Amino acid sequence: MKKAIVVLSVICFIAASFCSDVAYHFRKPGGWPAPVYDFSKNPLSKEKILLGRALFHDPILSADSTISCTSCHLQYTAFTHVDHALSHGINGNIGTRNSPTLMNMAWGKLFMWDGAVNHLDMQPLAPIAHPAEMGSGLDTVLYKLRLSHRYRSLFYQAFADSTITGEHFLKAISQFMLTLISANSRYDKVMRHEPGITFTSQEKNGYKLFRKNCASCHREPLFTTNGFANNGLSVDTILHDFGRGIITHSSGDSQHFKIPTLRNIEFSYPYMHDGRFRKLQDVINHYTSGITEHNTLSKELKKGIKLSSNEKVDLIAFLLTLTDKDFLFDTSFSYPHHVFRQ
Amino acid sequence: MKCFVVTLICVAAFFCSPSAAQDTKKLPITFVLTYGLQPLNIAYENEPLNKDSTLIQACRFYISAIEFYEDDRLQWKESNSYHLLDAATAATLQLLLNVPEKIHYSSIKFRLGIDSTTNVSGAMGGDLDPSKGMYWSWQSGYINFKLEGRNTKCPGRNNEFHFHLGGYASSFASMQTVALTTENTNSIAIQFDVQQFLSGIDLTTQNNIMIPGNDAVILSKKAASIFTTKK
Ligand code: HEC
Ligand code: HEC
Repeated sequence: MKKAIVVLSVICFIAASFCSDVAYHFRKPGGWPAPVYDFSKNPLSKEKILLGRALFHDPILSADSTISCTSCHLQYTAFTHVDHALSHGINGNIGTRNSPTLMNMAWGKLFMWDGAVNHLDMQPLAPIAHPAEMGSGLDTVLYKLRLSHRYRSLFYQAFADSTITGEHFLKAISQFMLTLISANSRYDKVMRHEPGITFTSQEKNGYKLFRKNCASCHREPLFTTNGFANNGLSVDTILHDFGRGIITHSSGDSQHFKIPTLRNIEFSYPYMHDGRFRKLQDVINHYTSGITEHNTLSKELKKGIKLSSNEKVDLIAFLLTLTDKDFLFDTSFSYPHHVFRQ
Repeated sequence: MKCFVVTLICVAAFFCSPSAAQDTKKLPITFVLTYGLQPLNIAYENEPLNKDSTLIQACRFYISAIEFYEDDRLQWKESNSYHLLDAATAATLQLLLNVPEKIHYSSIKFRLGIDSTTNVSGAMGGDLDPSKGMYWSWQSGYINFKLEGRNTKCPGRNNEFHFHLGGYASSFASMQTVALTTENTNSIAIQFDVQQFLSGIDLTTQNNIMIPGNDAVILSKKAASIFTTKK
């Protein structure tokens, strides 16, 4: 027993002298709630984040090496698949849902439109195995990575261990996604009272309308409660998607979908889980005159939302203040040329 | 900075090694998987299927939270106790526990499956690594018990049946507790008869369970009831 401890300590010494990963400080924007993600189980480091970034951009994750996470989650559109109502995967297969934006993931509780995924770490398993998305499997991906000198070295630098495990693979991708923080839109600057930055009177009125009609679900500062709701969309007669109800088997959850964030909404069209609306105007018109009555429709929307045409314009003007160009063009999220050139 | 902390902890561990640590001994627990009176065989691919016979192609399950009791008093429990047993890999069927030298027990208790906390705590390593084929991809959660094979009664492709039992959310929690009396010996053998598990199932109608739900809970209870320490 004692001998084991001595041996263990010596191993620790050696490991410690080799390990050179640099801790990364996670910056919580001022006034935001505490993140949901438990960083103590996966402490951030520069090397792990870089590894995750490489994996996120690398088509090696798909069966025929044509599709990467970025294929459906493109940075310039807040990490969604712009202009595609339903996401496209390998062999031109079309999925059944619109790819969501990826932002402020450290505050997410359940993932996917129906909350089928209970932890950020586990999210990559779904697209990797989905026949219409990447059409592969975790063991196949790990096998391919283990053959790659580049990845053996990246994993070693990140985890002081060149055996590529599922745990390390998933944790690295999470690390990259956790750094995708959008908190520098004009809205944020106004809230922080930055000098010289104010809302126009139109935006100010739009903000008031937003607080009154939308904020109960799209709650600031994340612009989502992380909950699920039925916002009155009619069920698509081909897709027959009942959302959260499929997961919980509870009729009360039928047609509930995850409340998406509205940050960078200007660029993440088309909208809703099936991408049925192309323009923000269509979304607003849905809330004022397109609500489908259903016994799970949320009570906020039962009374109906009334907006004049000027008010609709003001509301959209406010939504456009949620655009965060610093986030959309942050080069630390983009394709890591320096890694792949080596 | 982190490396410094790691080093510091190691130094501390080095100097504070507990001299009063309890003496331990190895206690082997062997899981004996059978098909009726025969040892369970895992069929190779394309093995021909005779009428009314059954081929087992995969039998894997998690055993967790192993505890020893004497007269309902907990004597010892294994920490970080998660074991993936795979009928195709004999070494996984024998667990070697480090128990206190003077342990006395009259029963052993374990869980068939993975607790709900572990199910919602993100990526894990070792036997819990999601690359072990015991984690669902389209919906988070461990598969607690997996049995796959072929029987001519199954109408589907290749006459296959698939039982992937799991689910951790309260309404479909499928993890089971197994408590077995045992003698205080130097090794423990626990039997599991796959034929007995299949005996109550009508394979013509029930041959494909791959999602959490009522059926998975009922079959998990059945599986848990089949473990025995009796010869
Ligand atoms: C073929 C397109 C496609 C690919 C490739 C893809 N995704 Fe997605 N992603 C989607 C779709 C569609 C959804 C929503 C699915 C659903 O709700 O059923 C989604 C959902 C997500 C979510 C949940 C977001 C939320 O807020 O709920 C995350 C996180 C995510 N993907 C990360 C990734 C990562 C990491 C990869 C690469 C390993 C990846 N995706 C590859 C299409 C894709
Ligand atoms: C009862 C809760 C609730 C209220 C109130 C609400 N929403 Fe939503 N919103 C949702 C849900 C749920 C979705 C996703 C629905 C789906 O795709 O099935 C959504 C989706 C959206 C989308 C599409 C986002 C995307 O990325 O696809 C926009 C834009 C939007 N809402 C704007 C608004 C505006 C503007 C208001 C106020 C007029 C509002 N919402 C009020 C729950 C709500």
